[in-house]
Amino acid sequence: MTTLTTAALVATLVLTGAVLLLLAAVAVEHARRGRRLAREERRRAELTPLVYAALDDDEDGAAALARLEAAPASLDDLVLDLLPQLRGADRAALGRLLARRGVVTRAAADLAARAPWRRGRAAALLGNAADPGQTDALTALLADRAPDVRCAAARALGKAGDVRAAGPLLRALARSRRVPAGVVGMALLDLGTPVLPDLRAAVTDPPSPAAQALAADLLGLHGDVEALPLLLGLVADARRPAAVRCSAATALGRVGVPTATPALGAALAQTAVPALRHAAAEALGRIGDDDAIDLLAATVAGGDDAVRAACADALAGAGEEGRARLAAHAWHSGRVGEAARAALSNRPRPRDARVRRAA
Amino acid sequence: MTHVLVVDDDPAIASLVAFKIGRLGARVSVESDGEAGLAAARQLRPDLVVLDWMMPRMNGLEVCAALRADADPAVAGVPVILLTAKAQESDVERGFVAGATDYVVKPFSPRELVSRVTAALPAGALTP
Amino acid sequence: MREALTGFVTTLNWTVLGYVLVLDTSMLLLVLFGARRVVTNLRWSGAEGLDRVFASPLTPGVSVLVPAHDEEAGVLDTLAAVLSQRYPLLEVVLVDDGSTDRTFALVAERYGLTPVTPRWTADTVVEGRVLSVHRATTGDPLTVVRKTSVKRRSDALNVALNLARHPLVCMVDADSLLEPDALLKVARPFIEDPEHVVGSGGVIRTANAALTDRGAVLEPRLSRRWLVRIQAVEYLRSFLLGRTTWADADALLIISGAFGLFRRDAVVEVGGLDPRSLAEDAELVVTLQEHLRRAGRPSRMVFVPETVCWTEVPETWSVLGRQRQRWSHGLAQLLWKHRRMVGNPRFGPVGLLALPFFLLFELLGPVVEVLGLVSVVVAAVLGLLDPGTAALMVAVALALGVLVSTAVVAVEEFTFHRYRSGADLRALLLAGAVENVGYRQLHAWFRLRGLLAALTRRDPVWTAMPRTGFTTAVAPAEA
Repeated sequence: MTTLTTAALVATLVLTGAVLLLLAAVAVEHARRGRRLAREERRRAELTPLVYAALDDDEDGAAALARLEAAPASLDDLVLDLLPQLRGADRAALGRLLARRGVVTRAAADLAARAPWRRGRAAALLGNAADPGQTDALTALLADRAPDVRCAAARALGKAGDVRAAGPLLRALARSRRVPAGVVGMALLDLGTPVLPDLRAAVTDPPSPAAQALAADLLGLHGDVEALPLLLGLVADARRPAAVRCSAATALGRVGVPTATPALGAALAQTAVPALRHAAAEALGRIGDDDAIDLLAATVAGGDDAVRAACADALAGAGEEGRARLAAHAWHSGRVGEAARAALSNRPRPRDARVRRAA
Repeated sequence: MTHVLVVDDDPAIASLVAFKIGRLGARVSVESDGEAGLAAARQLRPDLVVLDWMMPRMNGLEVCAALRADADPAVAGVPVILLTAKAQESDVERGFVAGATDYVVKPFSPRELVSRVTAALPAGALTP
Repeated sequence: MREALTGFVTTLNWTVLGYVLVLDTSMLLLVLFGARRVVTNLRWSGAEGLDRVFASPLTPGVSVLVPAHDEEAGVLDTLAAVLSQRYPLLEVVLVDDGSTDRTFALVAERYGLTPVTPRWTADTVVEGRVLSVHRATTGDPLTVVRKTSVKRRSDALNVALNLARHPLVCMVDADSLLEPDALLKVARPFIEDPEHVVGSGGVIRTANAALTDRGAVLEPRLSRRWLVRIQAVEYLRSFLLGRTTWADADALLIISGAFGLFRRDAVVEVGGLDPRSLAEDAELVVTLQEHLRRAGRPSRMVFVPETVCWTEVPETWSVLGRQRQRWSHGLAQLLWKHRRMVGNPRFGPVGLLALPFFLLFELLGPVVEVLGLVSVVVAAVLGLLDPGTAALMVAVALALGVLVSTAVVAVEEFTFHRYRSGADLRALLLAGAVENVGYRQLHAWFRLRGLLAALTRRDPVWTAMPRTGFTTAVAPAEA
């Protein structure tokens, strides 16, 4: 017992010591943080007007820029906070300022750091600074061993705006160290319309089914009329994976050209692929030409329950004519009427939605 | 003197926008939440409001709708430019339904915003 | 005879002490590993690409499901916080679960509700009767269902699930306030690992006395009530650092009912929330893990150690007692229902680590602790206890307990430092110390009662918690 009690005594003392140490650390940290934050705020207040002035192209701007080159490090944080919110010439000017202060070079070196968060932060910074010289380094990072870093690299490539990144981004969708479609997709959207040729190429000659589906999705979001024949081919091609055909159908709806109505009508009849039928119904609703509305109305009345709701919703979103056709069904009892009523009451017309006057 | 009200809960954005518009020779007031913004608009009756959407207390959409419904015609008719990170198609629709004059998505180009502010004001109100 | 008794009592005392030391040491380890993870996470902050997730039209939509039973005190704040989430595509389904107060009237007035024909998207079994379905006319994506209550939160959530349209469902309690980025942060794992992530949870903190305005937490403040302060430390320890570590070990058992995001198809596949469970949030997570592992589909439950959902916690001992008894009862049900998973390597770290830990320390902990207290008292009365030894035993257990709590507060101060004022920080530290004297013992008693209720198969009772609502900015600092 005595050894046990001695051990307990020692343990108590050690633990109490640890508690006291922690308390002291907390006290010091709390006191220091207050001062640090106050100092930081003061510096920012001094530097902010200079940064804004430096955005102008005139003499004042040049003078402000010259003064900023030797400013303390808090300037970098200030600029880095502002940068992601901006576009255009002002963003480019801030990017150049960072480059001149050596921030970009340091971040480029950090791309090879050991800690994933350092690599990720460096990638994010380079994306915001949009230095075209970093595209290759960021592209290499798409195969990083840490998934977080791969995603950060993809986002950075999107923000940096170099079109050469489109191919590598699409290829990053399918390999053992992959980047998910949601991240690649947004990066490609950030790159804008200049990547349309790459996206069309990914539909005709896909590096992977995932890339093909995503490319179709993005072409739809861009409303790319030139891709119409390619998308029509995908929807009709029964050998393609269902996901690819669905993406193509959705894209056709977004492009919104009535030429696609017959192909989508055929897809709507594909009872073996329920997901495709849903996508086709929605797409027809978006196109909303007379033929599309006829197809949807017929499917609401005669189709099976699986697509009835989708068709009814599509009609409710397809303008006055679609709503009128749906209203004709709404008086029926049974499932057809119920689907019609649900669709009508759940999709009020935009102008019905009055924003209430706040009290 | 032309008077512009900037309402944004991000102080960096608010001060940048205020700086840019101030350069045009306008008087600029800044508020950092929707409720204060609405009160300021009613009291100061500015010539234009640059309004963020997502803010504490009252969102920009509510502010915009409240401005449009105001009894004072000068307040109800003020041009409102929504400056927001909400970028979806349906958001833009909702913004205009609420009575916005113009809609600018963040990340934004400050130069473009300045052009839009100038365009939304009566001709000659500002001299860029 | 006396010698044998002495020997027995002494052995019991030392065993209980040993148990408490092992429990507290594992707590300390959970806290330390959690702290490490939190620090790494914070280092990423600003570079996680949340702005891209927000701007992306490819971000999956979220249906936020809010069950509400007599929540007139906070429901409008909760809705305001949810509807002003920084998230690209979302809808809210509020279930008025047989409220007898003005819950529905308030919402109907604020959002101009109009009755609609419901569009069901799933047919999860629901016991209560749906009375009507309404939709906001203010342009807000809000649907409200009125149903008769069967006194179960799970039933309300299942109705909401049947109306949800988006691929992700987020469950939020009607007494909780989400921070503006909360949804964006918990949804990010679904975008960055879409093949595996099935559920994702965020940090829950105590909202009592925090300064709020229309759903926005303007300034976190610590309540003046010690009971709430202690729970604040407890939430930091278990619901922040503990869960962070468990999730890192791929062994997360609980995503809090106050705030959790799941893949809708997976939840529908397992039939929604278990109507018999008293801990339906943990139950859902374990059921999903079991189901997906059995089906050979890889899955991950993740925890985002920074999102903040502020929730109201009990302010009185009796309410707290009922709540903890229910949790313990629910945990016992859960472990019994999934007893085949306990220690089963087929279920990975969940079966090998988390379930045994919860069985040994969470469920049986109160038995040992109450037993220990009784044995110390017995020993003292019989004069079997050497006062010096006894004092030392208590001291070492106390010191370890205080160390754990202090470490928790230290992590908070070094990382998030949400409580600005020094007074709040001191109160938090003191609450952590006080927790070990009185609170911990009573808590053990509440949990023991829950365990007993489960063992006697008593009918699960879901008791409502009286709400006080949130402190608004215009009101004096504290109610």
